[in-house]
Order: sequence, then structure tokens, then C-alpha cells
Amino acid sequence: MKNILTIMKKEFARFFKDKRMVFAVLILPGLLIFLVYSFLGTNITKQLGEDTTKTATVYLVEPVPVGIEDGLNNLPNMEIKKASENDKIDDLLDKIKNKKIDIVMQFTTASDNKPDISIYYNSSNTTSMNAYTTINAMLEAMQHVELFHVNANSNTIYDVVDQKEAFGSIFGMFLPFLIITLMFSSCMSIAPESIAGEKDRGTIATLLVTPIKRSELAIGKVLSLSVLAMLCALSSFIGTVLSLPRLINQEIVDSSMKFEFSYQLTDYLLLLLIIVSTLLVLIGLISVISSYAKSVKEATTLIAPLMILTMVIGILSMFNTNSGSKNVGLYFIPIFNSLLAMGDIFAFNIALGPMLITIFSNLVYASLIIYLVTIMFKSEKVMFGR
Amino acid sequence: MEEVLVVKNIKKTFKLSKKQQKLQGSNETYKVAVNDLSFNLYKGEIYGLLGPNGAGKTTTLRIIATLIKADSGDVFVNGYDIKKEADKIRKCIGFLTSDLKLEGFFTPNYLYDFFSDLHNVDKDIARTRKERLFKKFGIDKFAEVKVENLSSGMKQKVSLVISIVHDPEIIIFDEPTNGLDVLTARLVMDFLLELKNEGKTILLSTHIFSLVERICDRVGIIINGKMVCSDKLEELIADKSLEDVFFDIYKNEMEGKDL
Repeated sequence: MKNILTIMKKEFARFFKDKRMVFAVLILPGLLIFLVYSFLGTNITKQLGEDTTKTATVYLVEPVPVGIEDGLNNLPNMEIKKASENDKIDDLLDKIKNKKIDIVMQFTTASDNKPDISIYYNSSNTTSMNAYTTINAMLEAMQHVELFHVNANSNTIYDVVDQKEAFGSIFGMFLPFLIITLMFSSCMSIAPESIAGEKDRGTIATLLVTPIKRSELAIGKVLSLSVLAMLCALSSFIGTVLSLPRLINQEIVDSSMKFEFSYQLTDYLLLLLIIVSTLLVLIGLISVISSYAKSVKEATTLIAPLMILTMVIGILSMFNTNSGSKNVGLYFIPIFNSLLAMGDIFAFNIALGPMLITIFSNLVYASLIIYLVTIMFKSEKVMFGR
Repeated sequence: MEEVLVVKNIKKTFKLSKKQQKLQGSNETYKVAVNDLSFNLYKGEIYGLLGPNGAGKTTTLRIIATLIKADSGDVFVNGYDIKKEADKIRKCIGFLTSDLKLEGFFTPNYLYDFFSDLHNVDKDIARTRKERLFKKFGIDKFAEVKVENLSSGMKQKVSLVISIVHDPEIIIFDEPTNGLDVLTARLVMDFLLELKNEGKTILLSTHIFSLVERICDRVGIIINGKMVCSDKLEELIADKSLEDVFFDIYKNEMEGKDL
């Protein structure tokens, strides 16, 4: 154990004493991601805002005050329908939530005899949001705002979006891919240098003539590299989290929404366990390749197919409909299992069984890989012969 | 006398890549680096291994240092069998060869402490030893300079000092004065004698006849992977110089004659 810590300390010293490496590996990725995603997000939001050509279906729940219906009929890209007596307001709201219709306007009379206008919309539906904005603008233009109360009841939720589900499914789809990409690039930026680099420079032999066991050397390397890769991934993750509001929608930062789909402490803990176990697997795989390679250049070349495979698995996981405990067998497949598990966490769809399978199978794979690295460190053909 | 190192009939063969075959101008797919080689070391002596380039000296030393394994034969260090107790052997030997490099990013100070930790040396003892050795080799002025910024001679001295951080009983040096200026080479030679006086056993591989003549008690001559001669220095050279004796042996060996 002492030797493992000594090796880890040396790896940390090698990393943290090199200011250029700390900047390039820890700070630059997060900073770049923040800047690029913020730029992308601003432009995407702008483009989405301009998409007003789709016709919105607006349901009016009678009685409709005089002048309003005419005003609505004159609005572009809007199909105005009157709700029948059989249409219940809750059913209509469900239809908005399911994006079958876009707006429901309900008119009631308030105590001061001014009509209340309730405009229900779905903020996750661009057509609904555009229609809501247009109708509000129309009411202002007609100077009717002073005559009506518009969405004035503070106890009513007018935006009927299922925020948790909407954002959960978005996060669940692309965040795992993003995280695995960040983790892989983090591992790739440090592991080849630490193992293939030591072989390349002839410094690994100096370690191999000390009494340290090959297994201690392998474990020390893999663990320290995992910690460094995690710090590196954390930097990228912070950059991502900070830029997410701009990336998805500027309005996420708005008011109460952030409270309605916030993740719990257990979600974060599970995510942490999944990330740590996945990092061990990724660092292990890259360490195997780095041990086999005789130079950093060769290691980088040999790692490329693994990176492509990881990306392909990541993309496949984005289209996977399996969630929770539907098919637990998938949670035994390395890398794919982590993507699924992270997707479940982000989509608020956690089932304990698949989570535990993912974490423990990753730990088993990592142990086997460390054992393989140990064997490779013992092999003179691998260490010196090639 | 107590035997601290026994090498018995070791053999080592390397597979040659096509590139290596080309470099060696040979069609052979295998090269026998060490062939049925045997010798032993007694406690407190300095044993010199002589031989031309490619004779198998470094391969022999690397086998003893547990870096590579012999195809056949036995090696015992301080009674430990290399096949079963390599970890224990690494504790009692200090090994220095030009193949072993130090990470240029670190300072001599850091590396000394790091290797002391790996060898489980008591911190106080390590500090005292470091001060003494750094001062002796003039490393103290450069203790906080990164190894990559040191001169090649200073790097060699740092490597030497670090190879003995754990005060090993048996010291194996491959070309320890290679690349050193005359003053530093003399310093190393004196240091080897000092180690001998402390009761250490030293196995030395070198091309420098004068060094062997000055400090070695016994000499082994390796040619084409075989130990062709192993004897006390004075009995080997008699009234000749070591260089003359070596060339006679080499010539006879190449002509296939017995000495």
C-alpha cells in the first residue's frame, strides 16, 4: 500500500508541478467548452426564436370577450378553434403538454368584473412559445391588457410543460455522451505520457529494478491517472454545466423552473460512483494500450480505434430506448452500461439494480484490466523487447 | 569465502526483428546473447566483466538485476533464487546502467527521496546519506535543478547516487565511468574502492582496462556470450598488461583455439 501511495504521489507531482500541463489539461478544456457552447447556445436560441412559420393550434374556452376572437383570427400562422362543451380543461392542458395543441385560452370573470384571461402554453414546444408571445403582443397592441387580467393568478401554472421529463430526457440523451467523451479525452491526455512515455524515455526500467511489486506499480499508475483524469473531466464538466443554460435555452435560468427538475444528492452520488468506476475502466484500457506501445506516438495511434469505438457506443446509447430495468443485460456491457446508467440518472429514471450492476461490473472489469497491466509490466517482451 | 552471487549456466536468446537482422547484416532470426555462462562473486570483492560490444555483458547484468529472465540456468543472489524471489533480490542489489534513465522533469532531491521511499529507507537515514553523497559528488549545488537541465556527467552522477539510495550489499554497475570527464571518473573509481572497504560486493562491466587493473580483484572475460576466462587479476595477467592478455584471449577465441 505504501508503495502504491509513493507511485501515486510521484504521478501527482509530475502532473501538478508542470504548470503548462495543468493549464492544458485542467483549465483549458473547461474554458473552451464554456466559450464554445455559450457561443453555440446563443446562436441556436436565436435561430429557434426566428422559427415562427409553423401554424399553432389555439383553443378558446368560451365565453370569449368581444374583439378578442377577431384579433386572434388576424394573427399569422394560427388556427383558432373553439372548445366544445365536452372538452374538459384538464384534457386540453394534457394535449398542450403532449404537444398535440399549442395554446388554450380560458376566459373567466374576476371579482372586479374585469375578465381574467388564462393563456396556457408549453415552453418546451417552440410553436407554443411563439404563439404565446404573439398573443401577448397582440393583447398589448390592442391595449386590452388594462382591460383584462392576463395570467394573473399566482397559484395557477400556465406553462404546462412537464419540466422534469422534458429536461430529463434532453439531459439523459446527450449529457452521458458528452461526459464519456470528456472522460476519454482526459484519460487520453495523461495515460500514454505516464506509461508509454516512461518506456520511451527509459525511466520505467529504473522503477522496475526497485523492490516495488509490478502489481503495486500498475495499481499506483492506474489509480493516480484515474484521479487526474477525474479532475480533468471535472473541469470539462464544470465548463459544460456553466454553459448548459445557454446551450439548451436561455430561459432555463428563469425563476422557479430550476427547482422543479433539480437532482437529489443520491442522484449526484450515483453519478459520481458511475463516473469513478467508468474512469477506472477507461484509464485501464488506455493503460493496457500504453503499456503495449513503445512510444507515446505509437500509443496515441493505437488508442484511436478505441476512441472511435467509444464514440460509436456513445452515439448508439443516445438512440437506445432501454431504461431502468427493461433489459438489465445491457448494463453488463462496459462503457455502454455507464452511458445507459448516466442517461437513467439524468432522466430521473433510476432503478437501483441496473445502477449496482453497472458499478460492480465496471469495478470487476477495472480489476481484470489492472491485472492485465501487471502481467504486461512483468513481461520483458512488452517492457523492453519490442 | 562467502558466495553472494552465483550465476549457473544461464542462457538468453533474443528474437531478431527484420530491422534488427538488417542492422546486424544477418539472416538469423535468433541471437544467442548469453550462452551457458557461469561465474560467482565473493563477499567484499570487486569483479570486473570485460568483453567487446555485443558480447553479452549487459544482458548478463540485466538478468541478475531481474529486469529480464534467462531462458535457462540459475541465479542466486544472497541465497535468493531469482526465479522465485526476485523482489527480495531487488532489495539487496543496486543496479546502474546507461539504459536506466531518470525522469528529467524532477530534481535530484525529489528523485532521491522518491527512490528512498520505494526502497523503504528510514527518512532520517535517507536524509543523512543524501547529504553525504550529494556533497561527495557535487550534486548538492544542483539538488533543486531539474535533471533534464543537468550536464550529462552530472546526470550520470545523480543516477549512480540514486542507484544506491538503499545502501545495497551488492552493487552492479554497467559502464559506470562512461561519458564522465577524467576527474569525475577518478571520483567514481575512488568511490567504488570506498564501497569495497565498507564490505560491499561490486560487479562491474567496463571497457576501460585501467579501471579493472586498479580496482578489480577478479576478472571475467565474455566473448560471444560465453565466459571464456574467470580468474584473479594477478593470476590472469602475470607480468603482462590486462589489455594484452585480453587481446590474446580474444584472438585465440575467435580462431577457435584454447588459451
